[in-house]
Amino acid sequence: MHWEVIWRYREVLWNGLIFTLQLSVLSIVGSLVVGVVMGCLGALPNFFLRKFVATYVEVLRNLPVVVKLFFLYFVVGLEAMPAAVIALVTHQSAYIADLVAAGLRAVPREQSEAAYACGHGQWQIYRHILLPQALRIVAPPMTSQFIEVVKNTSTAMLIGVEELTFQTQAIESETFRGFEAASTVTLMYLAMALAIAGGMGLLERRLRLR
Amino acid sequence: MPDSPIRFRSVSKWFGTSQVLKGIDLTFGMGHVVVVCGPSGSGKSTLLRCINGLERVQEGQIEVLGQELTDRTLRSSGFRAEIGMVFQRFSLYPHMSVLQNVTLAPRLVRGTTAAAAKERAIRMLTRVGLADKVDAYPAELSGGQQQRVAIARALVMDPKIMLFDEPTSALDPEMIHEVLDVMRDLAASGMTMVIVTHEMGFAREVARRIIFMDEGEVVEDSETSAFFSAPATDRAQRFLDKILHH
Ligand SMILES: Nc1ncnc2c1ncn2[C@@H]1O[C@H](COP(=O)(O)OP(=O)(O)OP(=O)(O)O)[C@@H](O)[C@H]1O
Ligand SMILES: [Mg+2]
Repeated sequence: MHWEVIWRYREVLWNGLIFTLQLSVLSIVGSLVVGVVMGCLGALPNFFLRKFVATYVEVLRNLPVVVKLFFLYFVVGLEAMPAAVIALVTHQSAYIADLVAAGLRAVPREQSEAAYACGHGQWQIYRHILLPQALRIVAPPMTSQFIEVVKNTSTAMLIGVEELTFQTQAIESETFRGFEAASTVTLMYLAMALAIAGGMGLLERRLRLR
Repeated sequence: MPDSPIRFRSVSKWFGTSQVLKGIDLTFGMGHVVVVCGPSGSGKSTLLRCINGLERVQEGQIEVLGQELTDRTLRSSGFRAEIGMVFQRFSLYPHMSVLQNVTLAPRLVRGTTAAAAKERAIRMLTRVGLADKVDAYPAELSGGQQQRVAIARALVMDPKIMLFDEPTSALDPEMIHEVLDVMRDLAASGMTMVIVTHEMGFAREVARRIIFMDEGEVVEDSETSAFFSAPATDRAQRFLDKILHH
């Protein structure tokens, strides 16, 4: 074992971590926003919106992230980072939209009807009654969606983003210390996943439905 | 104020190909309490839900508080708030306290300040006997208490009409009376009320008129005492026999 390799390459790993975190945060926020908006649009009583959202979900869920990445990078010609973020957002937001729609459906219809009868408009009903409940209902499966984003950031190495997995490979090819590098990076991914799970757990406890 | 706050003119409604309201003609008097009864699936809920636009009809006109129901009139949140509605169950917002449930519409729809909304909400909750539950959450209340909160939430908007769709059907027997008591008080205060219920004792005591529906038609529309002493149709008689000897 030559763990000193890790110490020697600490700066490289640190830079990789920063890229991974940037990709993760941007993509999680982006896919959450797009997913929630899509989920809400899909639940509105409008035939065309429903079809549009169903198509969005169906198409984007059935394409591998890497294919989206290559399409945006090589065909559309975006820079590497924007291509990676958009690929991750379109991919995960399709799952999140489906999840949010299921959460919205789980709220009894009487609540929105009572709100409508009290004079609330559609926007107020979503903002104050449906979404707060739907998001609480889907918080547990949302955790794995966020972790999925972090895992998928590693695909960005294929278009040259120097994130954690990219750096691991770089270290391996310079030093032939693949075992040490891969072990370290595995632990780093694990730590990020645990941090997300822990944070979401705290959030869930704060927001628990009474 | 028009003398009949609700008027149905040849109203028909279909769900897909099945017709659930068949040429309904009705008028409701100001300050009157009307009970709608009839077998399951006869169209009682649908009739009620047409009054505040939760269901739209394909034929005929409905006039409420002097305005014909159209997309335009129903888009007005102020107009909808004139018509309070109480459902069978599940209508409280479970993520909000009782006070938040009751103040939400005054604050967001009417733009009332938080303090004024709170004061008014507490007045309404006192009226339904729940002044001590303002900070409770719906799940901490009994079914009867939840229904009384739902009534307070509708009343806080100062509606001209109150609609009730089987407000006690989902309750344990011992909680029915506390909800009926609140409704009785409301009737005595001169509120215009349309109530779908199977509580025939309550209907007999509070309603001015009974509307009996079957298969999408108004089969009978009589003064309360006449309806109970001698229903004009066999169908109503059979319904009464079944429900009273239950
Ligand atoms: N959203 C809907 N879509 C399709 N059919 C419906 C819908 N709502 C009601 N119906 C049908 O319309 C008819 C009348 O229903 P409605 O709910 O008005 O009856 P009801 O008299 O209130 O019955 P209950 O006593 O069971 O509440 C029924 O046959 C019902 O199945
Ligand atoms: Mg009904």
